[in-house]
Amino acid sequence: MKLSSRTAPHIRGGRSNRTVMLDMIVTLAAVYFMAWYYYGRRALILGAVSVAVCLAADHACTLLRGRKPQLLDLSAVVTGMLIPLMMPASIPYRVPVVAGLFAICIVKQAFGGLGNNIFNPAAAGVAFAIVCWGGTMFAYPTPFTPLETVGNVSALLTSGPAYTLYVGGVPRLDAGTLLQGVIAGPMGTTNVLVIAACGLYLAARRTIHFLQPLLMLGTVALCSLLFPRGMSEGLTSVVNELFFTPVVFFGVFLFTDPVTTPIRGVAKGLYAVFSGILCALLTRFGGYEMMFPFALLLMNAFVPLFDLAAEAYCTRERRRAYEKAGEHASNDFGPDDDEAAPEAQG
Amino acid sequence: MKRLKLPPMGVFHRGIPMEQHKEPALSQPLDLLTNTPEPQRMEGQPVYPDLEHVEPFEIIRAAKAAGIIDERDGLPLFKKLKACVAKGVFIRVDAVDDEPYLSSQLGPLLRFREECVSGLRLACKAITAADSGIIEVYRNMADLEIKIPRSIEGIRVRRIGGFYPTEIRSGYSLVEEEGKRYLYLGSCALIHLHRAVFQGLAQTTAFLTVGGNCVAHPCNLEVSLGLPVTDVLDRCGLTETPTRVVVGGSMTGQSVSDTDKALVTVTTRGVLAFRDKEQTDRSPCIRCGRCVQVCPMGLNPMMLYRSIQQGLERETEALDYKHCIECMCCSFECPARLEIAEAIKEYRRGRRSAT
Repeated sequence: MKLSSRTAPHIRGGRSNRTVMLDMIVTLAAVYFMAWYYYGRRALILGAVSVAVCLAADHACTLLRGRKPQLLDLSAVVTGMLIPLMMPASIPYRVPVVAGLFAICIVKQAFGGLGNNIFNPAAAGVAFAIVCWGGTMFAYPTPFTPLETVGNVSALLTSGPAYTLYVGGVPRLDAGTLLQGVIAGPMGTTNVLVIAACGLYLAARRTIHFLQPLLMLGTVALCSLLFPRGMSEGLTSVVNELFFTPVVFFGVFLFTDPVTTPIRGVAKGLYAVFSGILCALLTRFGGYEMMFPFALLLMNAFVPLFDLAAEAYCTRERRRAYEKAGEHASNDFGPDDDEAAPEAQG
Repeated sequence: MKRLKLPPMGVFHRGIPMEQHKEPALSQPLDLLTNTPEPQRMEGQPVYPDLEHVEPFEIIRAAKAAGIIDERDGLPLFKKLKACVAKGVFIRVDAVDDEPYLSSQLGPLLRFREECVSGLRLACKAITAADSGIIEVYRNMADLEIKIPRSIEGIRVRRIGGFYPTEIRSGYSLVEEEGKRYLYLGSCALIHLHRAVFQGLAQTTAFLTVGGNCVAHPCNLEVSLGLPVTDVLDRCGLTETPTRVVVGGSMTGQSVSDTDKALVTVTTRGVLAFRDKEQTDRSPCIRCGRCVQVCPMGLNPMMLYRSIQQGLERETEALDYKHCIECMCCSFECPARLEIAEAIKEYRRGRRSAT
């Protein structure tokens, strides 16, 4: 039997880039379901438009770079799904379209496509939209008000509790609406419980490490406990930070993006803690009510440093372990001589 | 012999839990596949009646005359025994088989219990070991139908934990633990030692597992050395044409291009036939860090792969590529299906032949 030679290992683990992306898509679909529940069909169409734009842009840019487009590559779908979720449901269609084009063409493909981008495309797209359309980005419709499916929205737009926190006030909402996420805010980020469930699913599937969002959100919570914003105090301040700002959404979906986080576990943990600190600093001193995309982009720039430092540390530890173990094990049975077995001993 | 340094179990990670696929082969009876009708006695080699009537040096001499090679590390058995004579070394029998599909040490151990234990007693006597030894098997075999006994012929069977690269990690045949020194011997080599001493037979066969997803009747076989792989596969039958035939384990084995020219050797542990889809789409590394998580040597396979691809020699050196044990865990886990381990292996080969 003549066969072509293959490389070892001859069995492979069940995970592929495709399953990683599919996990993300499944969880984001759950978030879209909640957005549909709050804001009706417009939320879904925003998502569909954004995904279509991102996929088309990804395809076109891959062709422009002279590569063969991979039809199974779902990373553009994830980016496309993420972008509108961080915007109000009333956003004009052109905003996620431009954000998606910026994310894919400039932040992702210009750096060499999937795996080579330094900055998270979705966060960069949203940051771009915030800078360009600051007012529109932070005017939210109240949940359950009917929104026009096409064209501009005529419903009354308000500022959300995140803005109240930003200007130093204390938002008053009862626990029920808080847990249901019926809050004026970006269309995908208000239902913290659903997002937390998504995080659990991703962690259980080992798509993200559970410590990454936990450490990042823990740091944010600790910072808000020690240095509360405005007039709220203690635990109220923690609840305000976690439920009224989109920090949980960012912690679960964006700060865990594998391409733009360090590789080593130690570095991942440190990165999460520093991200939390930076998020807390920027939400307090930043110029917008939602500073997380900027915090993420800033942290992304330091990922190579985290990687280098962790590699140096791990190399030292590793060599120490080798040295210790080397004294205790060997395959050394003397030289390759061929003399006869030892004659009668004693 | 190359001298690798190995961190103790569990310093870097606990290994990869894998589906074992041992079951069809392990519960089938162990058959013989030879090209000679009767095993030939060695000329001039005495046959000893029992353990009392054989001197330690005679055991080592018989091992040498029979040409027994330990399937565990490919070293001559007599050499391993000779180096440990009267040094207070304990013996451990390796029947771990941690690569999926393989049961070529455990199968013969269960089938030829008396021979294996008698071989162990001979080996203990040969090196005047301090106790009667211990047998090690793999703990993580949940899908087994047959029970592995707690003791075989009065020898304790110890289950060792940990996940996949357990055996390669303990790939050292002379290990020091808590001040005691242990010599690892393969279970098949002990069966051959028994046959050499008490029946005067040379090692002319190897124990191997035939398996894979397109083998009709997976089983363990005792196969004559030098038989082509085609014959072994014909013996068990194929349900469909395989796309790859592997000599060795499913993780570390060598894929063969011509089954008529690939022959069974003393260290052949398995012949596996797989039918799988050829991967056509190439996805890039998404820096997920799984390869780093699973590397039992604490290396950074992702960075190594990149530096090898870019030809950065100094960086590759600094990343300790030499310590790779070629367990193939990184390639197994990689969601982009990159040939990380293969690249590192090739690079090591290249560097070794260059110096």
